[in-house]
Amino acid sequence: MIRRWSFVLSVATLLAYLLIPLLINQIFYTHLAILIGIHAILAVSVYLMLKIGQLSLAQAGFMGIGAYASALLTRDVGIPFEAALLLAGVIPALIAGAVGPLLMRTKGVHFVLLTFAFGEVIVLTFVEWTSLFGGNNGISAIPPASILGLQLIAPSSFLILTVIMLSIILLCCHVAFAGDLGVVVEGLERNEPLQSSLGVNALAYRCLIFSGSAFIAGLSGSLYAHYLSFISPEAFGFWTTVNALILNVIGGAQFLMGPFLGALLLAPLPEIFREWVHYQRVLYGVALLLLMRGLPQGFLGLILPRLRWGNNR
Amino acid sequence: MLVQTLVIAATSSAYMMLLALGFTLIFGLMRIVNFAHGEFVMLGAYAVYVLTVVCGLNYFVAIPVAGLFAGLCGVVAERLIFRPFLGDELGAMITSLALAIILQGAVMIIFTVDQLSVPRPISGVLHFGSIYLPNDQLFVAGSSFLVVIAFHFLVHHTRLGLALRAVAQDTEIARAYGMAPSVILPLAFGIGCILAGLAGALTVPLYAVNPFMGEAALLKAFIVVVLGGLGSLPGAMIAAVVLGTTDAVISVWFSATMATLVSFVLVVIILIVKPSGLWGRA
Amino acid sequence: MSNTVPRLSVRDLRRAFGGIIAVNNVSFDLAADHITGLIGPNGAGKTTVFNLLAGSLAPNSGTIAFEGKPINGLNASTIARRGIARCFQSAAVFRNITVRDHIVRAGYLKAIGRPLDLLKRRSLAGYKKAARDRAEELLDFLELRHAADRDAATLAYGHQKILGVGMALATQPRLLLADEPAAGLNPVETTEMTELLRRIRYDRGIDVLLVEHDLRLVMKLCDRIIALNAGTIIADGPPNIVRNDEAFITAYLGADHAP
Repeated sequence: MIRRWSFVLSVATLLAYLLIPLLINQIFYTHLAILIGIHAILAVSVYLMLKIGQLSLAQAGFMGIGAYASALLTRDVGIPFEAALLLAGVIPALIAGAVGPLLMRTKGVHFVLLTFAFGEVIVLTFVEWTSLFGGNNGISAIPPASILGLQLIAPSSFLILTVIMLSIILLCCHVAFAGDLGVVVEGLERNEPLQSSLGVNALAYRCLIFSGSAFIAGLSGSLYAHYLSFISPEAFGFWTTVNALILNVIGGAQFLMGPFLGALLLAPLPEIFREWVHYQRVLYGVALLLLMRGLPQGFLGLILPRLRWGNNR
Repeated sequence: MLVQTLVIAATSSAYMMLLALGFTLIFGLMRIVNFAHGEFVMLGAYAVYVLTVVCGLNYFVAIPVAGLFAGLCGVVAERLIFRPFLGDELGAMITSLALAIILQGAVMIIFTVDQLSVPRPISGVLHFGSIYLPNDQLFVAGSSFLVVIAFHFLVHHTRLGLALRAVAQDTEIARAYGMAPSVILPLAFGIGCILAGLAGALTVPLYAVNPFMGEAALLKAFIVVVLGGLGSLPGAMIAAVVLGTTDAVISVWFSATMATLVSFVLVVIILIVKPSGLWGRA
Repeated sequence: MSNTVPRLSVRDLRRAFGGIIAVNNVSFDLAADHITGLIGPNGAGKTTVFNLLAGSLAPNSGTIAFEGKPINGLNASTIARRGIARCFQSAAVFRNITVRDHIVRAGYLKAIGRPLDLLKRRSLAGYKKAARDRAEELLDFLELRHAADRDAATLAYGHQKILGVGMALATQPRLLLADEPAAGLNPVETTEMTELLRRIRYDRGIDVLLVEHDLRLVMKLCDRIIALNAGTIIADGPPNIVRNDEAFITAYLGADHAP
């Protein structure tokens, strides 16, 4: 019963999130909504890793790979946006799949440090390989998104694309975790040695999740690149991942809708209160501290206390 | 060229040691990966700026004061913020991120995001024949090594050091011998932050001061500590020399970014072969 | 399985940690239909042997063959899928999952042991049905039916360990590796556990290899005992022979007690 209600509520939230800016029909609100969506997708990729009890700090790096891949493939190679969007997910997923078996042999703090280093390697590659990635100047004149020949130049049309992408991602995660994958992932987070002793190849599954999270991060990168039509390396650094992590903690990292809710609450702030950006940082930090102390389940944990699980470590 | 490179290598190694020793001390004792470590470096740097440029104090007097200020902030942070997360690695890590953001934001509010600089107190070069060595770099290298030696003495030849090592080995046994972790841990956190603050204070005249300087410092501390083995003090010292030297050589011959890239790749490869780091306990 | 191929065959197994050789050229065969006890004083290397067999550690050299096929160096999950189950020294359960669900999951997890297995949806349904049926039968066998719907984390320690054995059985092994099954149990629970292991061997025909500190339990339960000291086998045979073996007594009780 609670499950069904939370599903209905989630769909309603997503619809409201799409419709309200469309009805207000002001570019500023549409712009905010698009940013929320892109941040939320990246936050979902962080969420996937948290789901197996690991924190990956390379997610913004994967977002960057998706962004650069999509930008270069459409602008210089000339492949259609639809294919570039897909490849923006596939390429980071393949890279994560390739390094996964190496990185994933470590867990906990070591994994965090390794992914931190890996994320920095990605960003430094963008900076250093100027002939391909344009160095610190980044890449500009990225063609706008277009679906089936329809150019999504108007922000409202791009918002629709963003919301559709976010909804598909959330739905896929929901379906996947409701099934057998959810059982395996739950066991990985709770007691991995026991799970392995029952015949589950923990490393392979962790790599699968890592790959999937890189896929999603790459998609957010592609949307980001084609929305802003300009990208540069510093957008994909360590603090971008940290922001996505904050969205999870604030929204409630135990819940699939947590990252989206966190983005809904936090992503607009820097745009709305531009002149107060410094105070916002302090506010973010204090909010994060207080939440870690008093509300480790995030705001969704407050609203849905009966759904909570797994906080008694 | 060779001697110049050596001096850069020594400076860079000494600086990395300062950064890494504090970071690894805090991890070794409390299992806290302190993402705010770079911000304590920043605190040291801003403290020197305030003391010298604003208050007109002598730079050499300002250095220890700045270090102590960073250390004091560390003690307060440990008591107020990190205490409840003892034993919860992920929670402590997120908390340290929050602290980093707060410190950055506070500095932005007070000093804006502009670059600030402290006039160089030391100038001139030493020259032996055709070799020119900048005095300010020699000063940084020399005083960093002095601080490291002092730290080494503290850890190995004092009662406090004995207590630190005991707590790092086994909190329960240390408690049984009357070494209260509630006193030792904030002290250790403070000492780690003093080292970070000194690193910031010593290098202020060489680099400019800005609210984002912590990230680069954190990166350096990270790779050194990871290479040396998390929580290992001798590992951090050896790794600082290894990375400081490679860093210097590659920055001189290629570029600074390339140097960072190479050290990262090096660390990733080593970690894949030996996840506990070169000198870490498994 | 013909009688000539041993259930488990270990040859020249060797594993060192840094400079310390924990297991040094250990060889033994386990014939089918036995309960074997692996014993030895602290630091003898028995836990290392156990971890090597279960795949938690890889050997430096030597071979392990299960029913004639080599399994050394395979990871723990592959070994589990081959038919060797293990249970843990300290009770290991998932949080917030009922006892029944633990056994059901244990019964079908190996069918989705690798990510690609998720695609075989149709055969999976059959697996799950079979796992559910088997779980009901196992609840009776383990005498845990009264607790079937309780959160496993709230069970008494002894019952959690029995559940651990039950999960291992749910994977339908042909060899059960039990790591100190009686560790941390009170005398009543120890008797229950001993009885359970005996029934596993005699009622279900599953071979058991156990590592155990409790010598009385081992002597009472096992058909055969392998005694390790300092990484090598010092005695091997039926309990009444090993009990009087000179090397064994020296290792366990010190030289003064040797006859």
